[in-house]
Amino acid sequence: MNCKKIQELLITDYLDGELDQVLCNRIQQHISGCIHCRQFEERIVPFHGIRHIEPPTRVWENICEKITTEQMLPQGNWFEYLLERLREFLLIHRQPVFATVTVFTIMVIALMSIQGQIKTDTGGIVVEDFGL
Amino acid sequence: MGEISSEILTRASNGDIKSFEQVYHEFSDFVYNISIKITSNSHDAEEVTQDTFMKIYRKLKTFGFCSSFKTWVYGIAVNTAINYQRSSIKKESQQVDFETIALTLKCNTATAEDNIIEQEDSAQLDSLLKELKPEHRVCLILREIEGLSYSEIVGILFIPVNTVRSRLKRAREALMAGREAINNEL
Ligand SMILES: [Zn+2]
Repeated sequence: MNCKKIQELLITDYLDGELDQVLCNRIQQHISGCIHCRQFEERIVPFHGIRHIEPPTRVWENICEKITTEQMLPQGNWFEYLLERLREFLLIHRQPVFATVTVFTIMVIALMSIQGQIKTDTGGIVVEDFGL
Repeated sequence: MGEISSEILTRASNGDIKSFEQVYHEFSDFVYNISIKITSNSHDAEEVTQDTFMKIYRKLKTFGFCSSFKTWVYGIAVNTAINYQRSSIKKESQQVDFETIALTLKCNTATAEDNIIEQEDSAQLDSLLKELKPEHRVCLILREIEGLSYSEIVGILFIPVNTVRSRLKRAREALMAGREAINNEL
């Protein structure tokens, strides 16, 4: 292994304990005889002192409130559900062109179905008129 | 982090709020802190945390018990935070978040005096972390703070292990360069 490969491993797998003992030994052997790689290892920033902050209690309160509201909806809000699915879909397919085409198609389908509903409604009235 | 039993998950997925609260308490610390690190803002982190847990709640029924629940939750949290960050970058340029600074200071003053150097390190590291690309930062946080292995990170981010490796490498190189630049200025 050359110095470039050694340094690459030093800053990744070696540091993260992802290497087997054989490779670790080979690296240690190289470092002991190579000033450049030894200096490189000393430059690696130790990562400590990052503290965890507890989330404020209002976060759970808000979640709890949302869930309770959702549970009170009769059969779940289908519109919200659709929006959520659509959002997820768009997040998976991040290519802008594809996303735009998808949104456009869904909007056309939605418009067509609304128009369809209006037509059926009018149809209903016509039938009723005939009934009279 | 302990494991949540499958009974609790089943009850939570059936709408039992007490069981879901247990899920929340098990993972809220991770979700909130990774959100702060990704969004660099405590207000956004709260919103991401809420969003994440609503997604978990709604998707619980579809969770296959064959995979690790922890990995599943981490994946939802990280993706929600990254997407939130991406959309908010477009909306506004980064603002100074005084609440986060205040919170960090409050945490710091609570610790012993001999930790002062470590605290300075921590503040410096925080500001260096903010300079990293979000995807590099996420990898580094999952590895260094959460102590996850490469294969666990692969399972959360759905990226090849070589990408995990190269992101960690870039992140660490950037941290090294950043720290050296600061030290040269001092
Ligand atoms: Zn060397």
